[in-house]
Amino acid sequence: MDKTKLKRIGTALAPFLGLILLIALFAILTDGASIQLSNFKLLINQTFTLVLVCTGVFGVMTLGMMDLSCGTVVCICCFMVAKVCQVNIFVGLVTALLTGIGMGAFNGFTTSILKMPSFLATLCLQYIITGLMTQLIASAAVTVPAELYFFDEFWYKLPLVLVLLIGAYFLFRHTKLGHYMRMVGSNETAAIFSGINVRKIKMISYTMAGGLCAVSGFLVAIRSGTAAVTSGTDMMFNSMIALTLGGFPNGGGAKARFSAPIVGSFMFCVLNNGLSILGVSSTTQAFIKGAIFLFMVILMAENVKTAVSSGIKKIFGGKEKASEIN
Amino acid sequence: MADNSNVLARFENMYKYFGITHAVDGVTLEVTRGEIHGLVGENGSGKSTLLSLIAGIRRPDSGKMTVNGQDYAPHDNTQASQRGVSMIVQEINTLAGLTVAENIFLGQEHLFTKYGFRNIKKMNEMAREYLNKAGLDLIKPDEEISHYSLEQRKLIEMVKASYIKPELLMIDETSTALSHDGRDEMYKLMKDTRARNGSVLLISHDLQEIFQFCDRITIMRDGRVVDTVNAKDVDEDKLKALMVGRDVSGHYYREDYGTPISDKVVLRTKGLTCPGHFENIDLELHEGEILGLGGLSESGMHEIGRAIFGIEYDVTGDVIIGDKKVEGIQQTMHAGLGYVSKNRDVESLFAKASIADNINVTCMDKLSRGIYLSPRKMKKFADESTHTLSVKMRDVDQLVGELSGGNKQKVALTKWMARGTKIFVMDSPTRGIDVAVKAVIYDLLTKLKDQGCSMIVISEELLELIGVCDRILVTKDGRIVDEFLRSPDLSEETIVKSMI
Repeated sequence: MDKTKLKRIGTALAPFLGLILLIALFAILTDGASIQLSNFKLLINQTFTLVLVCTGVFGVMTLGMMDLSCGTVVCICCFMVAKVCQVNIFVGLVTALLTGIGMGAFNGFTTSILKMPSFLATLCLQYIITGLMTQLIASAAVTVPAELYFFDEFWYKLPLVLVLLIGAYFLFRHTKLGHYMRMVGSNETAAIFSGINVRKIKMISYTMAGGLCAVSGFLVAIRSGTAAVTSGTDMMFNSMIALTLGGFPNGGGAKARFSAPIVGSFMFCVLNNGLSILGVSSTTQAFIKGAIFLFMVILMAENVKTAVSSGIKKIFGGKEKASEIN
Repeated sequence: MADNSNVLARFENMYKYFGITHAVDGVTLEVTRGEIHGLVGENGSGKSTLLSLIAGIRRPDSGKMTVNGQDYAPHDNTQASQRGVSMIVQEINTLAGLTVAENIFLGQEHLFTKYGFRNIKKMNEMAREYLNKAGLDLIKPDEEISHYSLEQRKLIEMVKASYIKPELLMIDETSTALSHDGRDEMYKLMKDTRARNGSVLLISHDLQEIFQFCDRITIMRDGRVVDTVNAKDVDEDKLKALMVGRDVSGHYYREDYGTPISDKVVLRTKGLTCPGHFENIDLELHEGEILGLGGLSESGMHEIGRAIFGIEYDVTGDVIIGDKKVEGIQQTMHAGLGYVSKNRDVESLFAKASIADNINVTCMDKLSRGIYLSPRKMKKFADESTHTLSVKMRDVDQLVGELSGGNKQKVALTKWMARGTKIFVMDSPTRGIDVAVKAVIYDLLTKLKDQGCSMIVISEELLELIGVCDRILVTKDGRIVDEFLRSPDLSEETIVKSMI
């Protein structure tokens, strides 16, 4: 009994351990440059945009679905901030937020009402937005109004992100919605048979993901100062890598933990930051990230885990009673 | 080796582990020619795994198998069937998207292939011939297999298993998926095989079936063979005792008769119709009543259960609980009704979620204060709920997928009981469950009845219905055709007569 409890705690702590190891590794490789206080602040600053997208995608992926449009939703919201804020700041921010929420709701509509596979539906939206953005941003990138720059300050952004994350955590862990999300992810049919309104859950999850992408788009806009066709679009792949790094189970479901988006995006940024300090070129970085992603997906696969654990048992000749399971 | 000439197959010291589970733990079994050999045991005793090793579906970790005195180690079931060994598995084993004929001759395509081209016409003709032999005249060889019902597919599988004229035919818990006609077809197949001097290995939870057909019976428990006995030498009680390892009393149905039923109607349906499944169903369920729905699996009774819960499509007519008309799952649940599905793993349970998650999922409204849910309170609630049925588990954080069939069903029932459900619709509540857990479930039905809960029990097992129900409605071709009241004189034959 104690053994299984230990195993459970081990599984829960593994991502944190990975994070510490990663930080330690880069501290050694960069001769301590990566753990300077100033760098740490920079690191957290870099994490803000990713962790928001990650949290949104986390909700959707817990349902066993995908959101391939998140990067481009960040992009279009970033554009709205830059463009509409030139007219009126308040209107601009609201427009951006509504755009994000609207895009999310659209994903919810196509996947839950029209019952399109989420992979295809969100991929389509990604292409639609990319096309739209190429039209809108015709030639040069749009500049963000200077009045907004004041917000690009660590101590303003931190509370904003924290509030959103705590809110998301509360929803996920302490409300019906969060539990239903995990249950829908582990077996949709059984969820329907248990009286869960699966459509509603999907709709809410996608909408919230859209909203979080909008906030992330705002942060991208004020940080980079411009909105281009590529602004934030790398977020789609990065968020998936981050989630797997954070120990998110393949396919979502009941074992999804809220630590995954938080620890995962932080790990991702540590990796990014460390590689940059080491002077690794961006093409090599992409290669490394892809390899790590693949490795993590394989590691998280259920059958690999069983194979590895039974292999270990065979090597050490440990024998356990069958009755432990039955 | 003169005395061994009658041995068809011998399996020595078979081992198969799944991780830490010793599914088959040193089994030695001998099958003689011309016998029907029963294999019985509780859920998770390793019967199905053993057969899958013999059929080449899984590879044993160690062990020696001989068929006809020669070494036998199949890599897959095609190789097994070349050696005259074939198996009908418990689950549906046909491939959707292929035609009936393609399914029957799967792995045997070389019979019809010349210069790399497949002669589909010849294949269909041959399939036609075999189907006719099995009395399945209505099934078309060139039709896609998913157009047929589960039972028909099972029958097609039987054709597939039998056309090679197997020397060793293995049947894994198939009769539960079949109606009476289908079962007769299966029994005929078993007897034919025996008549050809072949042998049959039969897994069944239906002990009557075992006694009716088997010459010898092997009892398994925890992956090991407990004993092999001649069917003549034991009775049902003895067999049950061997299966569970302790004495089990012969009666596990309730024994009261003539208990009055309240006049209060808790649920009624009015003109409930679902095109293609059932028509104009009017039924009334009284408070504290156990109402049975019996019939052939195609008779529409399963769909009636689903329609009452609100999950069947295209349903017209009314379901009235108390005096309120309900529509859709949420309303039905809110009115106090719970549905236990026949398809436990897909529709009732979340295999990859913990026991606590599975139970709490229907009880969220009860557990939340405002919108706030306390994880600690949820765990405690689940913990207490599992005590009622004493689910065998490590703790409530264990995954449901790791439990045995019977314990899974206990969780599926607990999920609704914990919610305070007053009306249950249970579709085949003891499907694929061993005797010990069956007894627990029958006991539970009586207890729920005593607490004033009402139940609709849908089952193909007529003895079960006769044993537990206050009233039995018989469905046929989508209509309710007969009604029987609880009585000690009610026999299976009487009900069967009105079923067909």
